[in-house]
Amino acid sequence: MIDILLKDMWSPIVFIIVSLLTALVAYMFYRIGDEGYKRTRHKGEPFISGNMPPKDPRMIHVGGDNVFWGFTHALRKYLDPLVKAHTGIINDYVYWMVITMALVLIYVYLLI
Amino acid sequence: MNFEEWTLRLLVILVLPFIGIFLGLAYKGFDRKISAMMQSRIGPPLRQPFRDVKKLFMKENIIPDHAVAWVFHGAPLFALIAPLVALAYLPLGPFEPVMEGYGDLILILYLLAIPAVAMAMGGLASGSPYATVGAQRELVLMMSYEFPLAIAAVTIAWKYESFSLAAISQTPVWSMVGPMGALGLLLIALGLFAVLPGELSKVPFDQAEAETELGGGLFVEYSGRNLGVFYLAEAVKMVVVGALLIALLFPHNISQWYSFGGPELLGVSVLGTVADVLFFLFKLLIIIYAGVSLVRVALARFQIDKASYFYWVPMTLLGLLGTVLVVMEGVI
Repeated sequence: MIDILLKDMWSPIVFIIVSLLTALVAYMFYRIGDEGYKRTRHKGEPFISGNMPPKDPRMIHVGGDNVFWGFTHALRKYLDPLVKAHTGIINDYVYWMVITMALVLIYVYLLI
Repeated sequence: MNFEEWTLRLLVILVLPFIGIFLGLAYKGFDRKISAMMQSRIGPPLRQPFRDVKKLFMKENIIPDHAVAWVFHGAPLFALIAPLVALAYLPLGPFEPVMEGYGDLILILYLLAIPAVAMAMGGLASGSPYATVGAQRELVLMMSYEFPLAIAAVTIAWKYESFSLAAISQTPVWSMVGPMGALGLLLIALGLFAVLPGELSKVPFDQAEAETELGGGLFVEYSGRNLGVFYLAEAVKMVVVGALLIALLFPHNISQWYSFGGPELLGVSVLGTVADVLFFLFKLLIIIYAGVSLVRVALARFQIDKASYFYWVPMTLLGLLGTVLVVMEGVI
């Protein structure tokens, strides 16, 4: 008979049970805390170093157009040539494909 | 399926979070005290983190006007639940993982990634520019330290041909290698210690919070119990990461070297178990001192791109070199 708890494997059923029980305890801790707050005029405004936030909420947000800046900047020596290789010209992509295919075939030939 | 055994396991699962939170806060107290002493300050008393949580739980829980409320509230809970669940799959001192056989090292690595993702989600949902920048930094940092961490974990697991933490912690990995492999393991251990402050968002890898430039970053809009739960999550994560390092690198127990007499319970010496538990707590203290307190006192915060570079180039190369040495020893 197959053990439904999948002993000696990654068992999702056990994981769900453990997560639910732990979540129960964590939620209990969470419930101890004070729930709400007394609303006053400026309390819900975002912190912008003491400046008055702009009326349009869209102006408060920082765009996510380069979420991974630190990462791409740190590895720019590796990533810049890759970006440069993406010229958008179909001929270049075909060259890359032919070169890759040739390398793979040489490897397969050597292996056989 | 043994009913009594499972009842006991589930009971332990209910108790473990309390132990994890208590130990986490206690070690946070030690960390703060030791750091203060190294900086010639008196520092807060050891019980200060407990007081901090108590106070945070009494404070108002403010929700910013433009926040996505359910993500804003859910993030701290997810950040706390994940490391608490990880405790059930980790060997703690002389005790095997409570859920031994039902999850392994890979599961722990995934669970360790959840708090960082939850923190980033909470930051992005809080509708603040500082929190958004903090969340972006947290994601970059996570992408950076996961690679050397994975290399170290896979190399050690390769040596055992198993990802089971019970199997890994039964025989110390150092006893399975020769001089060349030991050198490789030393490099991997260095890599793991370098991951520790990044995983715990401590100086020099606290760019996501960066009080001096982002005013708390991710947590800038968090207050009251939400911030308190994040505080607890950070404390528990410290214990989980420390316990993981112990399981991978230093799973030694005193009872392996010295046989204790005295009364026995379930065929195991009570004195021996107590000594092993104390030894585990001591090892945890040493790891937190070496990997967190000492590093954060000695260094200043890195720029985020420097932190990313640090993990992706020197630490990854160090880890790979360690892996090659460990693997080559078996080949040569």
